[in-house]
Amino acid sequence: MQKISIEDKGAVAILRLTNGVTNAIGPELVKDLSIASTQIRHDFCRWDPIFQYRFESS
Amino acid sequence: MIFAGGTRFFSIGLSLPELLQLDRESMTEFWYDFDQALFNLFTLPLPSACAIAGHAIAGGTILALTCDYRLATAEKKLLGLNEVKLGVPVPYLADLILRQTVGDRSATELLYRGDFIDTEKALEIGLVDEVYQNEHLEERAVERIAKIATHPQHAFTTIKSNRLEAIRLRYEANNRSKNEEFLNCWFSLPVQKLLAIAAKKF
Repeated sequence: MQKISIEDKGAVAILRLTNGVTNAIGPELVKDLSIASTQIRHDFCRWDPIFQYRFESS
Repeated sequence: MIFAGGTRFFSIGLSLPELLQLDRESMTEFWYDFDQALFNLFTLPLPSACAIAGHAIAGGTILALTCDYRLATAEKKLLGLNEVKLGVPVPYLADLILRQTVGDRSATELLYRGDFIDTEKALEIGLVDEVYQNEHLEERAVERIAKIATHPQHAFTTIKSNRLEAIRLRYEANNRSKNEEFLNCWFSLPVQKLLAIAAKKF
């Protein structure tokens, strides 16, 4: 991921936009957002029965 | 999860110079991906807060709306949704979240006028929950979320899913047609002209 970073602060993840000064939203940033939210779900969600179906079906 | 950006801009919104180069097929792919990314953030089964240290313009405010909480800088930064001035509707999901967050009257004012508001006004109408000096902003956001994260996740996730339910159901029923409406607006000639003028400010 080039446009977003994920920082681990123990129980909390910081998802940080790192797309220059403006953090303009283009195709690359959106692709990275998708990867980042998948990673955060994987690394930080211990229990996800309600959302799992929705997430997998997307 | 804490969502953060820069101190000048949390996000300036859609990258108009880049997106105006896309044909209908590519823009459609981008728009559906963006819509899905917003939905994934909104339905994240974790407590979330956006730390808004810089301007959150249009798409920037939309990203912030996907979080459970919004904490903003005490510095004079702007938030808002100016889409109407550019000739496009606000993404359907963002419209629904905004109305739930600030209430119908304030949401209508923001969406119809398309004006930006500062963080003080945003606090007043409930678009942001708390305001801090920049040097303490992320720390406070982490504290707030870490405290909630200590609760059993099963209970939290169920409560959050209840909060999201009405929006999720409306979104799932209508998002495709709303996305097509957005794309029709985006590719109309007068709107392309307005967007091209706006893109020059980037």
